[in-house]
Amino acid sequence: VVAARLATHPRTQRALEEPAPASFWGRVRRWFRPPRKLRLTREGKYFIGITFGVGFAAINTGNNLLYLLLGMLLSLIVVSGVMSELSLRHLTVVRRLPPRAQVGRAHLVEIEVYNHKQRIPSYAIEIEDLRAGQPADKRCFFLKISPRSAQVAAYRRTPARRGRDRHVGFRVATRFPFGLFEKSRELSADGDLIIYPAVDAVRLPTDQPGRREGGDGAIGRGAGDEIVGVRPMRDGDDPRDIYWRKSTVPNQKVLRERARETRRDVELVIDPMHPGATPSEEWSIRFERRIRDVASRAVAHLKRGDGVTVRSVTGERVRADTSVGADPALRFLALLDAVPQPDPEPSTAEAAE
Amino acid sequence: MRFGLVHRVMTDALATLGLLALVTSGELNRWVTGAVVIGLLAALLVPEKWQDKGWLRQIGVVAPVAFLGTQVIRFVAGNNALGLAVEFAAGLQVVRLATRRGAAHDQQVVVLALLHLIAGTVLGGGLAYGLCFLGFLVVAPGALVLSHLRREVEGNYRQGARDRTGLPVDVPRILRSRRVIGKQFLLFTCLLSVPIFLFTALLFVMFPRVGLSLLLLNHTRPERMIGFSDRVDLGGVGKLRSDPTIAMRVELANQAENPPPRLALYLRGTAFDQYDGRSWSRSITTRTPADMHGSNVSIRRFPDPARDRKMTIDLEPIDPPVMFLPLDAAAMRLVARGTPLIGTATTVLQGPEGEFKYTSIEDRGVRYEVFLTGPNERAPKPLSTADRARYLTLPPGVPSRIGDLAKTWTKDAKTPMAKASAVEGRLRKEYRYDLESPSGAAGNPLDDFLFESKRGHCEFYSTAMAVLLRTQGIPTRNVTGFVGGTYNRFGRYYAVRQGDAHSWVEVYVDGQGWVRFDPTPPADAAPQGEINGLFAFMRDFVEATAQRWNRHVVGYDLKQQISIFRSVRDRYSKRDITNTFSSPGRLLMLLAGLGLIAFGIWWLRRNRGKGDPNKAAQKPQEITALRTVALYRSLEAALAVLGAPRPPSVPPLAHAVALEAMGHPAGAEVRALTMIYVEARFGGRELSEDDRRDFSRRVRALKALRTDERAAA
Repeated sequence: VVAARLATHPRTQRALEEPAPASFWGRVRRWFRPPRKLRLTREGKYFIGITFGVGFAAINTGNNLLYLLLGMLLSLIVVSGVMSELSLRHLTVVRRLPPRAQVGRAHLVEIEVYNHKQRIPSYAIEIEDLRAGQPADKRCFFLKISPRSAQVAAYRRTPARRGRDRHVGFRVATRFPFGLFEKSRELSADGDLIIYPAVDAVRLPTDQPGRREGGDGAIGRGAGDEIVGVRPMRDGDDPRDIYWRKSTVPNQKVLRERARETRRDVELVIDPMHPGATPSEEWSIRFERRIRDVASRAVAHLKRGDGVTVRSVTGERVRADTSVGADPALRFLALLDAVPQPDPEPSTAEAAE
Repeated sequence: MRFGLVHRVMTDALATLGLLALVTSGELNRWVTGAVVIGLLAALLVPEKWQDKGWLRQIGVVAPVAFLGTQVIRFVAGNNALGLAVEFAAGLQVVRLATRRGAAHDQQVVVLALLHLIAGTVLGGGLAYGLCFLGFLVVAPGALVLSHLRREVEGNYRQGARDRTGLPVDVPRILRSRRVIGKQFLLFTCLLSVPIFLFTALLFVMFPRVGLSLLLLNHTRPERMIGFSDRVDLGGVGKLRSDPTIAMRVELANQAENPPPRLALYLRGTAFDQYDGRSWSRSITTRTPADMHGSNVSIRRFPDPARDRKMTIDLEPIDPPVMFLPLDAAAMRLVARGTPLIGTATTVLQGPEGEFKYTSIEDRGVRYEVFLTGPNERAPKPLSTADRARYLTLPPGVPSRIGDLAKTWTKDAKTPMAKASAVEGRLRKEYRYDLESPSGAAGNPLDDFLFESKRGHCEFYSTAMAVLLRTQGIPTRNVTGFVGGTYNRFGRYYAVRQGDAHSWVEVYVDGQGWVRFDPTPPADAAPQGEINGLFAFMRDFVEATAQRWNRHVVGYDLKQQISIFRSVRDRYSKRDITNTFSSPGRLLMLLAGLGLIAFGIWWLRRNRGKGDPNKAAQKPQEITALRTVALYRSLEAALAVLGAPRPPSVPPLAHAVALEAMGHPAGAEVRALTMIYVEARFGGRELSEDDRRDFSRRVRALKALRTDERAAA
């Protein structure tokens, strides 16, 4: 299976590119920028210090054995560069995001690294998931990725704010082989994760009397989601209601009977318009609190079985019910951005002027 | 191989090599060396399971502090700071090896080993150090890699973590794992030493030898040799006769094809004119700078390479730094080992008895070429009256029977030369060579030697001859030096050992100058080294290797560097490619080499997938099959969503036919897709990328049926 995945997986991955700088010298600098980034580790700093010390002593004493030692230390640095490059080459990385995520609730993001090299394993690979506009705080470590194989790891993340979490790529780094330098490269891999707003437990007003007991005529056959029973199929029945798992006897199909929808619709309205050109901090806090409140109430209503319509005063709306779940409503709320309040219509007097 | 075990072994090996480099520097005394070796062995034998024991951890904390305190007290008491520091470094490594726990401690061991190697570089530098360095090159990459991996493991896998299968991925499990480190990994890391070695050698050769000499890290520790200072007690040199340590290496120019295994060279170091009845000394002790022109030193004149015979002497560091020369040396030339920025590297001082001493900023001895006079070149310098008196002075209270003996022995000789020969002959024939002569303890050693014990070592013989001739009015002086050496077949030089130290007499003969006489019996005065047998073979090999190490590595200098660059330039500038491959043999060899490389590349490409369990998957048809199976798996997933999963016992086509027969709304589509799968998987049909995309799209449409159904409902 791994071999098939490897075979179907692209062998190369585009490097993550920053937007082209506007200035000429910026473009020149970008052209000269090396494809790998190199950073000294703490051990590396000590090692470089020792190397400089030995070199200084060698030059100043003419002791050939110190030159020999200097040669060995420099060789180790060169070998370190070559081996880290071997470790980093021919790696591709994919990310598997969860279908949904919510503010304040942890979710797992799977990272799978493919080593396309024929013979050489990659050691001590560290993958950082890069998100647009956010610092890379989550990483996965892979001790060994055998040649022509893939390794999966996951990291846990708890989002702090709602919205679209745009993953742009990965930073693949290694301190292999000696831990003296950290060499890294950045790979492009786009992926979006919608972070739903946080949802709190909400106590809804009690239902009208008798509704839950069927006083409103809730029990009855219809096109609802709930199944009230099964019966043999008769002519004229909708074949889409055949319950195939129970239709094991030939020519004796079993049909599912559905309950009638009896729940009510609730409309929740939210105002995303803020006064002025930019929203004040206070307004933003209130707006986020309102979104959280609407999300919580929408989920509570859906749990109770009501249909929910979330509407923005700017005219956008979305409907959710028990058949589709809370996703549409939460997604709508997750992506709802604050917009500036439009200017009031100029008065007649102003128009006359 | 277990990761933890391999890591431990590699780290132990590195620490051992570092300590050996330190111990073989000779800075530690015998007792401390023994203690370090025993401590190292004990530390290596400490079981890994003891790491968690509290008392061992306490030792790890307390012992270094206590050791440091001890060394500080010893320093205050006046001990040598360098020696104390070296002892502390060695002790610290032993303690750390015994009490290490975790990757951080292992890294400390690695760092200490590197520092030990550096210290060994400065303090030692012999062949033993070279071997340690070589071992370091082999072991260091593996040890460094494993230490780093272990640190990564400890830093990244938290305690109690589990993988997706539920197995713990904590550090102990990884350290027990046999999957992280394989034989290939070990082989690869050890083979890394090859490029590291080559690159090290390249840097070593290429790095410019500027030699600023602003720092002096060389630690002077030459062996003190008896017999070459300003005063020699009778009986001292004899102790050297059993010492096989090499004092110098002598290379003779225009050497014969089969040189004699032993050669008497009579390299004089010091000469004494004054004997007080027990010790030889010099009546004039002042030394003047030798007549030098560049690196040329005039003894009688400056060298004339065109006509002078030449010998090259590679002198080990000794104390006092005496230069050894044959009696017929006309001039010498110092072979520089790098020129310092400030001052001169080596200066030469000349003594009143024709002896030379050198002073050097480094402690690695001196190398010089000696130019010898021709047979008819001797221009004797007449001895002044004052000098003649010096060389005729007899010790106070010399017994009259010594003079009588001399008279008896020389009664038939007419000339000083004949008299000297007569005394030499009598001493050689009538006296016995004995290193443990009792005459040394007598009140008058010479009298006791001549008349009582009649046995002694070279110094008794030379003293006797010098004094006997002086009683007869012949000027003499006692000379100490090295008699000669044994031939080293590997290094093509004569190895002169400290055991070859000798004493003889120089007699001044009018018209001839100073003439050498050796009254010691020839068999006992010969160089002492073994020349046959396995021991001699091994000794010669090791000594020749040590010489090459000293000459080409330790003694590599700007001159050699320029010489290498020049030879490389000459080789490639004069070479014409058409001439190079003009001969059929060379062309054939070139073609064979190219063919071999081509075969190697082909073989590597052919065996690229060998040994891999997934090798089969590399064949294109297998990849196609796996991709086709993946397509059907997606169809199966859709069927499960639709509530009609395929039981494992039912073949795909039979399941699709059954669904269609039952009248399932997706039955026809499922059958059509299953047919595509069967044709592609078993019927040889090739699916294009468009076909695959179409298949996937249709599967997605099937899944959507369920959603539509719910929506419609």
